[in-house]
Amino acid sequence: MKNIFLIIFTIVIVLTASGQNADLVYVDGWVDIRSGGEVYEALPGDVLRAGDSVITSSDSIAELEQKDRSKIIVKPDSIFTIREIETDSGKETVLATTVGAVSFKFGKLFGKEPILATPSMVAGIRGTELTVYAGEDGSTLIAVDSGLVTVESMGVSVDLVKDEGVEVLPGEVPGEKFSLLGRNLDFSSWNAEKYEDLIAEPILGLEHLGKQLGEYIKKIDSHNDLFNNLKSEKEAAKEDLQKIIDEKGKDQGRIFFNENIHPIDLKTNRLFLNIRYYSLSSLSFRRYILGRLYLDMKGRFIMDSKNPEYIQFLSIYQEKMSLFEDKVVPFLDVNDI
Amino acid sequence: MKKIIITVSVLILLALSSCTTMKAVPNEKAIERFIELYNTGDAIRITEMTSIPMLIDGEIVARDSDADSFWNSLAKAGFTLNGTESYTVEPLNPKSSLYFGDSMEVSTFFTKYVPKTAVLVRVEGPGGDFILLLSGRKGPYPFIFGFTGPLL
Repeated sequence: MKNIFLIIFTIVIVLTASGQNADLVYVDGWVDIRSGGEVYEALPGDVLRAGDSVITSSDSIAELEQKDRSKIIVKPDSIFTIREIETDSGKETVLATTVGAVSFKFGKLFGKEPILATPSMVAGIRGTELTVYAGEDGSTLIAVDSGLVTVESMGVSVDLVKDEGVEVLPGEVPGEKFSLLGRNLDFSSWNAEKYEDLIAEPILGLEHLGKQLGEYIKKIDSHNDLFNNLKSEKEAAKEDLQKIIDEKGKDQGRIFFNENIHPIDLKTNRLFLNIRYYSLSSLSFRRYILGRLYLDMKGRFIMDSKNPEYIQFLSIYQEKMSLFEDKVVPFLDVNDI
Repeated sequence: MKKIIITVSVLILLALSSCTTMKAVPNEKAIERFIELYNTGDAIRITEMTSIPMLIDGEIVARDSDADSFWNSLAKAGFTLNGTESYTVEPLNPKSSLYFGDSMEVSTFFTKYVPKTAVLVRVEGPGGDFILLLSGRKGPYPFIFGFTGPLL
């Protein structure tokens, strides 16, 4: 009986896990896959699992397909990652676009529908065809071709239907939604315009980006507090367990373990998954959005490194990086770098 | 006979120039050629000689386009390194990463991505000294793995 339960449990796990995979079905140009700390050339037939990223260059694209025939097109100069998070309804797949443009066409999904994320928003979807644009300034633009999308940022949600779009700035609530009819969205010019705005006022821009990083850190902190509380609870329960085994025997101990310690283990595992989710999201944000701004500023002021504006920028940047080092780095490992 | 020798020599030279390795200690000539190449402002060629991921100060650059954009911005600013005679070369040591920053990311970068054959080239530039982290070779030039400065 125990074996049958184990087999069923394993099958459920395998089915759940395989639902999160995506097959690389088409590659045009040079595309990288980053997986488990290694980077290698993407080729059709490769399988992406939770934690893996697809990185396209300025002249390459990649097409992914999931088992339910959902299609994901990663457009040039984009970084797309499959992640996992625990929500109230269990483990969910997050399809994250850090920078660049990614189009999604979801089929009839078996089980839960994935969550879409960019540095500045998360979106829930239902039977949807849409494109997510993640700008190098941390902004997001979502354009819906069909279905329903709920975009959430800083605790505020906006529902989008066919031919509607919305822009979300980093660290801000979603903007006014707009009609896509008669508008020709061009990611390159939108991205260039957003980035020009950022670089025109880099200190203000850095403050906005810092706010977004702060949001990730808040989530890491709150999950970590719960995690530490559970760890203390578990330590106390382990002492009780030993007393029960000593006084009432192993069978009573086993019952106590199943009722009191095992549920704590499940909760801590879920919390740890979420801490990792927000830590990895912070790392991507730091690497591709904040890092890009830093490089631009360094290039701009390389001949004038004593410029007061640059010195102020560096001081704020250093402050953000210290926060990152204190709050995020403890949850990263060498494979993430 | 002369034709055969010339043809063979040309083929050997071509083969040598197309050899690529990340793990070779750059010699003086290669370092000087790299500084000269850098000073031409040929950002495309410098990007080709950039090993990705690359380290710029404490930042890990993981995209070719970001490296390309950085080299272009330096070229646009007119940034050059002073001559090929006043540089010093330091082999890697356990404290080398501190030139770039004192963070987990920087130390991991050195452990994970920088070959043991890399050298730190300290060269004068506008506002102070700069460090080039070089290793390997493709044709006449070494690859660049890191760039930082001006040093305080």
